[in-house]
Amino acid sequence: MTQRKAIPAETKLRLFSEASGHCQNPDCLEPLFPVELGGAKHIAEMAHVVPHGEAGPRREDRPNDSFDPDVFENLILLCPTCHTKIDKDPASFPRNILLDWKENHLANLATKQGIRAYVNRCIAREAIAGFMAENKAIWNRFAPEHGTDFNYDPESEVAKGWSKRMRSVILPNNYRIQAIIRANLGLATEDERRIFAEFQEHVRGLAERHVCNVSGRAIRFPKAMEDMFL
Amino acid sequence: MLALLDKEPNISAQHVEGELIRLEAENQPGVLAVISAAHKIDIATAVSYRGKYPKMDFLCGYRKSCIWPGDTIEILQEARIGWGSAATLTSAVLEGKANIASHKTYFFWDRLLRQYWSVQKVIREYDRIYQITLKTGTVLRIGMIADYEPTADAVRSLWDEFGSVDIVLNINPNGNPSAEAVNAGAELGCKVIKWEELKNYLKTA
Ligand SMILES: [Zn+2]
Ligand SMILES: [Zn+2]
Repeated sequence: MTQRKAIPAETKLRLFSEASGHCQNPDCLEPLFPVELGGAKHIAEMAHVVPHGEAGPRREDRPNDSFDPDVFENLILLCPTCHTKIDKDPASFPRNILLDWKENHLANLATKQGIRAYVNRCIAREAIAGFMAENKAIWNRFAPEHGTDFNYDPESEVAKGWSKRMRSVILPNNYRIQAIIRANLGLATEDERRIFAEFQEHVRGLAERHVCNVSGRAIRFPKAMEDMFL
Repeated sequence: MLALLDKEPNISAQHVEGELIRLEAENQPGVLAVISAAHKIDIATAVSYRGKYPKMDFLCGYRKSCIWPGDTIEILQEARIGWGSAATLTSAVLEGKANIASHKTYFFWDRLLRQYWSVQKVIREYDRIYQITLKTGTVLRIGMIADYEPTADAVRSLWDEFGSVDIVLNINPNGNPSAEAVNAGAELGCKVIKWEELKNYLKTA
């Protein structure tokens, strides 16, 4: 849809966060910041469920004439392949199917990633430990103030490396950690639930910062997350 | 401070006397460093350390809050004594250039300002405060903030501590000032910007 006007940053952020960095077509679920692109570029496209134009795909699904096509509820985050597919064959991909994809996206993604409810804390811990360790290792090296490779050098490549890793590794890991904990909240203590809420806020801020370029809203990584399910 | 050096497995440290320690890294000359807890290292402080420890190679203000006035920096550099944070000291020891090392946080920025084509004269008032004169005659006072994402409070604190500036430069290559920081600057009467914006400004100011 080339004629679309700019979609507000908050809508973008909400879409990206809900998509957890993956295409929302349940038969696809490809990462939207592919590792092959080094995290520098994303391939995400905001697709309209019902279109702007008179002739766009799914025009006949428009609820009423005053409907604003640019609202969060009418957008779905897809990879370019899936975007093309749904717009070329609107008969196979009507409004209710697309809304259904969006509705069930997190559950679909969790299933694909093998995320489920575990029988005890020990196994839940194991499920998140590797992702947490990878994030921490990257942080120690590239962290934007105290990383061992970090310098206050305006021409530094490390700064760019940090941003790319944030999008291609740290954020996807965080989304996965979130999904695992969400599926296992029953195993968490009262304190851990509170820490998890803080962690979710932290991740939301990271996405805002590194995907939508809005600074200064992120809260720090809650240190106590390191002991989750321990 | 010794706890900090503990994290650096390639450096061994031993206490010599008072605030003086000796640091060694493989294949590099040993370094005599003074570790100071001062919040501000002015000329009097620096001179008294030199009197006490005439052989020092490096003067380290290990507190994050430590401030270095420009005249102190000048006499240390003339005497070939390195200066700066604990992080500056550890990398200088590893690279074998403690005597000529200068505060890591500001090092690249100092060079950048001095070498920029439209800048005629640079006066370093403090480690993070510069007065520059452009070839057009315009004089600008610039304050640097190294935070990842400077807050409104960081901008106001800079003014409280060092007085008014024309420009607050966010020198962390990863970060960006928050919208609140930019607004706080506007209220005080300064721009809160990154290097790219400053470059454009220096072209036309
Ligand atoms: Zn579209
Ligand atoms: Zn897809």
